[in-house]
Amino acid sequence: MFLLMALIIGPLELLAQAVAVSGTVKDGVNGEPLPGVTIVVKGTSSGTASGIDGSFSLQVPDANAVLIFSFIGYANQEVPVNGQTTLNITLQSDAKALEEVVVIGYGTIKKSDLTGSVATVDTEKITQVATVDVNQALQGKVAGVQVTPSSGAPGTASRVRIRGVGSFGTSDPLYVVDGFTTNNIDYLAPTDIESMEVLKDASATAVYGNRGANGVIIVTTKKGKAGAPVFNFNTYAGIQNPWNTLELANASQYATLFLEAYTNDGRNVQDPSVISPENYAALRNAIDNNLTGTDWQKAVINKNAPIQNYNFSVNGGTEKSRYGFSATYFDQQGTITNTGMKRFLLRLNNDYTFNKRFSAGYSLSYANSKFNNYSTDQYSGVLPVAIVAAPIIPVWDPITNNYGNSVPFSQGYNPVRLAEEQRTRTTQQNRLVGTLYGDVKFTDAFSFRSTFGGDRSFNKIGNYYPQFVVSPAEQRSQSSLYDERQNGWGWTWSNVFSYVKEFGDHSINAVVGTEAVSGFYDYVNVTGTNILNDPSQYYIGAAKSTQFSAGSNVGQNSLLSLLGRVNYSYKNRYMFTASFRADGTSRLTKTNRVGYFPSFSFGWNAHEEAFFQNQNVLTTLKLRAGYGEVGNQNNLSNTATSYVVTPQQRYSFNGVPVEGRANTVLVNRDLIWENSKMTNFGVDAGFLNNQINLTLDYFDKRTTDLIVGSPPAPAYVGALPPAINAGTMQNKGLEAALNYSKKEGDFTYDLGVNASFIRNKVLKLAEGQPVAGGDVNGIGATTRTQEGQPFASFYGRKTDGIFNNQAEIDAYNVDGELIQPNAQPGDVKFVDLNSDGQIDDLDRTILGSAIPDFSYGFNAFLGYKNFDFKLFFQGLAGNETVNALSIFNANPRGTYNSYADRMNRWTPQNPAANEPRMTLSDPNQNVAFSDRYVENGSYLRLRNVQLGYSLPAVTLSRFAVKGLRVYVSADNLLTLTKYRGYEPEVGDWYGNAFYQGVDVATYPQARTFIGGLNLTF
Amino acid sequence: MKFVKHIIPIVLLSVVGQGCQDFLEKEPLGVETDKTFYNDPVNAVLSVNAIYDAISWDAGGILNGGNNFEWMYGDILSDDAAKGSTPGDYLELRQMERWETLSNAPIPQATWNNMFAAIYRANQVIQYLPTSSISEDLKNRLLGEAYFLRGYSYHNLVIKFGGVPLFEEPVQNSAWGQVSRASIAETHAFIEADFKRAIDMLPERNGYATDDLGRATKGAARAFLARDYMFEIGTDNTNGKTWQEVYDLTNAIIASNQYRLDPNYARLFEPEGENGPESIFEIQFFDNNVGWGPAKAGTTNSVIQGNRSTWGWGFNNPTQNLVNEFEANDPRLPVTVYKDGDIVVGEKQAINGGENETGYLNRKAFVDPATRPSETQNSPKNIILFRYADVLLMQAEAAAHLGNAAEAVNLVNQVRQRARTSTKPKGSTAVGATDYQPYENTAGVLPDLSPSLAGQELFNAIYHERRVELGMESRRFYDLVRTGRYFDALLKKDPSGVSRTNAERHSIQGSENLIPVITIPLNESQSWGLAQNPGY
Repeated sequence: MFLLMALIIGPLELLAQAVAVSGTVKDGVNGEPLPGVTIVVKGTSSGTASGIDGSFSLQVPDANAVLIFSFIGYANQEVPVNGQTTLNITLQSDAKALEEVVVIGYGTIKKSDLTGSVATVDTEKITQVATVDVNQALQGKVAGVQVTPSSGAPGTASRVRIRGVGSFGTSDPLYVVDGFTTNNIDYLAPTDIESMEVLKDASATAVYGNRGANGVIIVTTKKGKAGAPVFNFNTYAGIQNPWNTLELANASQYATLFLEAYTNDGRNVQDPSVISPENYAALRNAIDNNLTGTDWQKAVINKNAPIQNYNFSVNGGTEKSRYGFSATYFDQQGTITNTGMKRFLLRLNNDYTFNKRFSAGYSLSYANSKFNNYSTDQYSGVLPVAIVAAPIIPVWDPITNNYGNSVPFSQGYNPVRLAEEQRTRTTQQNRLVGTLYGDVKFTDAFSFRSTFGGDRSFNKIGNYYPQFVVSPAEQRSQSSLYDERQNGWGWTWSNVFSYVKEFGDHSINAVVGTEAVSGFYDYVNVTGTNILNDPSQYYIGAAKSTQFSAGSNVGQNSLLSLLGRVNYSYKNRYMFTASFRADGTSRLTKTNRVGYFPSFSFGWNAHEEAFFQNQNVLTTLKLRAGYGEVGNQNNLSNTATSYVVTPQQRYSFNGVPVEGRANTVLVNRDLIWENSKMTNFGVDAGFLNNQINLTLDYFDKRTTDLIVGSPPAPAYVGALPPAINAGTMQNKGLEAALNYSKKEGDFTYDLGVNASFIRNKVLKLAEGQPVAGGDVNGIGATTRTQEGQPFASFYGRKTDGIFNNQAEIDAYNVDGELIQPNAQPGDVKFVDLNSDGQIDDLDRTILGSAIPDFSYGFNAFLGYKNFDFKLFFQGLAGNETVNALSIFNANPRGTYNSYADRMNRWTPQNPAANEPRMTLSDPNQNVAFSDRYVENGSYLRLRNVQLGYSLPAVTLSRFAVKGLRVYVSADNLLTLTKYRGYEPEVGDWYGNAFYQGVDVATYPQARTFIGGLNLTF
Repeated sequence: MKFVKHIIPIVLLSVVGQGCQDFLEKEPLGVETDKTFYNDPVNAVLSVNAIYDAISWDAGGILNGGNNFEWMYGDILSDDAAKGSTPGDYLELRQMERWETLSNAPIPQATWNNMFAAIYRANQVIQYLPTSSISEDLKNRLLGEAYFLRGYSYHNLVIKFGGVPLFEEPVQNSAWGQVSRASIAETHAFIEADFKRAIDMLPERNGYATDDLGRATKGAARAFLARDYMFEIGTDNTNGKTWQEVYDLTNAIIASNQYRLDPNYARLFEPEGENGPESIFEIQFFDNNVGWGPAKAGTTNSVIQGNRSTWGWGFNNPTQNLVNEFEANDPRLPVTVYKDGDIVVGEKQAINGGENETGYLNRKAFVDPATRPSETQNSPKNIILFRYADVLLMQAEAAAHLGNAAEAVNLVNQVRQRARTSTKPKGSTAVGATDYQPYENTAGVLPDLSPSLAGQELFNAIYHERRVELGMESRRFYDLVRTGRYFDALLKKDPSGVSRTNAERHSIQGSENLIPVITIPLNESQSWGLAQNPGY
């Protein structure tokens, strides 16, 4: 690596006969010192940057050198040294350069000319939370962008939704990293990112055509700038603990409930044919001695799990050749035993300006991650099992010298054994992403850029399953190893002509180009059996048995597009943008292959009008309106329109296995991509010299031809139904972002609030048929997608407390016929919604939805002298969550462990209870899916609080250091929620959108305390 | 500007022109994607293998198929067996047993799904194979297998659900929600036609190569057709099927000389007895270490009925009522059930309180410890669906109905004779033993029936023989239903009368008897307009 570094930094010249020059740089208007001004000795690559007080000092080769001062928003200034040793410079703001530039699809535009809904997040905000996941870093920062960690397990990706759930399948946005389109940016470290622009409305994303429907996130990475090398070293380290654990019954309480379920059903618990004498003795013992037993949650928690991150970067170069290099190492243990991730990232870029006409450059990223595979399964996931395991069972049974056998009681496996096995289940990912561009300027206005990006990935999943015996029901009689190798190759090649020119009052910014995208993946997996439990033997070749099974899969797809956009602005007041894209995809049949995606938008900079000039309250006022059509092809499988014969339909004859093949999925050749039409109205306003900025957006997005991957189909068809275009869904909402920033003496304030209100509604489904989803073992489907309701609403029975006595049961009748004839006092009272005198599936109704009414974030930055203080809250309101593990923890049978508050259950002695009674046979079906499972999922979370101190430049300059900031930071310090599960931030279980908000013991987020430092030299 | 002159055409060429369409043609790789698939003889065989696969699914079929086993109907719904295992486990099975099944219950849904998957696969073969270029001999046999498996699937459906939608070709998308259930009689007629085509097209058992052992045969098609006739005759005989037809079919099986009784009853359910001389049709299993899904070639059937304290989950417990049915010292009893303290294939069995309902477990599902799979749900033990002893007893019943009592007695005696000369169960005498020990004193065991037996007594003797000979082989429920004895038997099993009342509520009145039927899956009735069965 040092060699590599030497190559990049090679062009540095040694300084001879140096002359020391120092001074300060100040703002030409208010005279305040300007920190961070780049100062370069003309014609060389050596230079420096001004410190926090605007001061600088550097060595120049000789007394006649010329210094170039440059700073964003200010005009460059060339200053001949002329033998002076002290230079006091004032930089004049450059009206033209002051214009912030925003990156949009296939180009950039002046912010004032922007007509679409685009939000920018800068590097400062991206690096605030202790994570290596860039998406998580976006959480709560942008109105209309909802980020949900799918789990607190290290290595699991976050779910990003821009302006709501736009699809029944994947609603992930498209990412564009320096012009390269991708679905996954896990190869970038937050510190590598200069800025992220979130393109929210269709007028902004239509230029991405059939990939633009769920929003586009444009990522600009940090690049080398001309000047002396700037070294950055950032590090933090700390500890994490789960922010929450559940209050569960202890051994004595467990045994009480367990036995009560039998006795309530009239079973004699002392009859050895009912409960075996040993089991009875164990239960009795727990009650008689009031035992606490095993705290299974504690047993699987990795207390004070360490987290650490190191990032080193260097940037610099000359006007002709610039370089950037960064390396990041991130190591996080999870808060559950044997979960964790290590990630190593490298990034290298070079940009060359050959002459006035030609420039080129490349960037290369390598990412290597290794993490433990955490199972979220109801029956084999560590946390789901830990909260149902019987506390009367020890973690380790000294008598059998084996794991405690939980099966006779909770029918679940030993959670600690499961946690132990996670050690040998890992995923390793290697990814190499490179982009290369060449740029030709034909004239000052007219240029051409060709960008090629390639993405190569090699992954390995290795799951070793050791042989063990805890009991006949919890054992693995033969060890096995599952080894999967994945290989991916994708590339994007875009060729774009740009024309940017101003003619007097007219200004034109136009692009036209083509893009080709190709994707390919394949994988092979092999399972071998009977392999020694020793990491050195976790290879297929070590299998001692002759029994192997293998599988493979391969897929390819391509996209070919023609695109264009023109932005016209008159007098900086009236702007008009139109864009167009034609996309052809390999995933559809020839006749349906090509789609056209237009957009139009208008902007009016009202503050430029004459009548606006005579006041100073409202500094900026811009009105925007736009309309666009975009598509989503993420949910089209590579084989969606082909008749595919599926292998591995196996049977055997004469004691020998035989292969079988059948078409298992029907074909729908009429399939097309999902189409969205979105209208957007926006206002940008700046008050009091733009100290206060307000952005408001209203949007209405209608998505038609929604792809239902497994649409409702009669089972008598005998094969899986094909994906169909079956639905129409609407997301409409209001987004607001308000910022206030001010500098006053030693104080700096920067406060930001953002909020969004989204109404999601399914307008149409094929033949009006609702789609059931969110299947949880034991209670069946929990969600239903039906016309007129939010997508994947919760659907079940309504309850009305419990029957506190027989009189209430008797009173609940229709003409003397009991509505719940099987009920006993202490059972749940279900509402007979259809008034047919009985309780059944027809009494189900909508019970809420995981889609929040309102999501918000609040950021505060307070600076005082060298101290900085950051605060970041984030929350959701008006959403419901299904606490699915209540089938176990609030179950009437007592076989699984229960919430501690189940001790308040109905008993003859406690008839006023609101918790149902214990019963083994549950004749009233108390366990059926009802509103008892649906809880308020709203929360407010103090996502991050941080205090930093930057050492004074004066002190630092003695050590040749340009900046040093030390800080302490805490994530998830405070969470306000009424939700009873582990974690109110619940994603899509199994990554399936129909499971949104269905919580099966979601891995809780960590409460993290870190200390860190940022060093620049 | 020379450069521009070149680059513009290059870029534009990459968009338009010939390259464009080629670039967007991305064929699925690694899978065959055309219906010409069936033109290759190997593929044709594979496509038929996939139908067998579908009828073998007991956990993880392609259409959301969870656990479903024939004993959940044939044994559990009858007086032969109780749910078993721990009280709280698998309440859906308890609901089945008590006829309290909900319309969204998983077990009937899984059976329904798997059978219709088999029907779809058979229909693919039946649609595409006739025009295939493979040899006529192979084509005939494969089509025969497809017709057999379609007939088998429909038979399996009609005896559980009543009449169902009938499909002679893969269901078109446009037909969704547009089809309705055929009557019970129409369904039987469809099954009859399939089995008759299968009888014509399939070879006898000895017409197959050894490697094909386990494929459907002419004998199997005749046997299942006879079984279907018998159910039809006893439940809804709108089609006017006769015992003579049953007799002719069973007689043809006997006359084919393809089958004989295995000399030792104790051997039938051991690895060495699989596909033996008595075997007419078995679902074939092989331990391929896969626990779930279509790729699984083994079965969950063994572990789910196994002993919780040794290897298993403890379901399907034989009742005392079944045990009492056996005559004194019937060697078939210890092959049918085992209890606490018994030694089974050399392994001493403990049956713990709280993990069993009746004190007995199904010996016929016991898997030899030597062949227990490492992936518990992948047992190699076959499930016998039809064996020659059944054919003999069917022939006896037909003969009795046709007034030929002497022949009937003779046939039953063949079965009894084999039973009384059978050995003790495998490895039952000592821990570690794996041999078959003969009984020391067999005097007076299972005497021959009297040649003068006739009338109801003869029928009772045949019914008794069926119950003990085929105990825990999932025949009992259907035998009770088709002979009009089900509801009384159910009342004996559950004296509270709740199960019986429930079952009556879920019954269709056939021309001959009341036919209790399980629920049509909720979605099929609610969303796709199939008429629901009574009371669901």
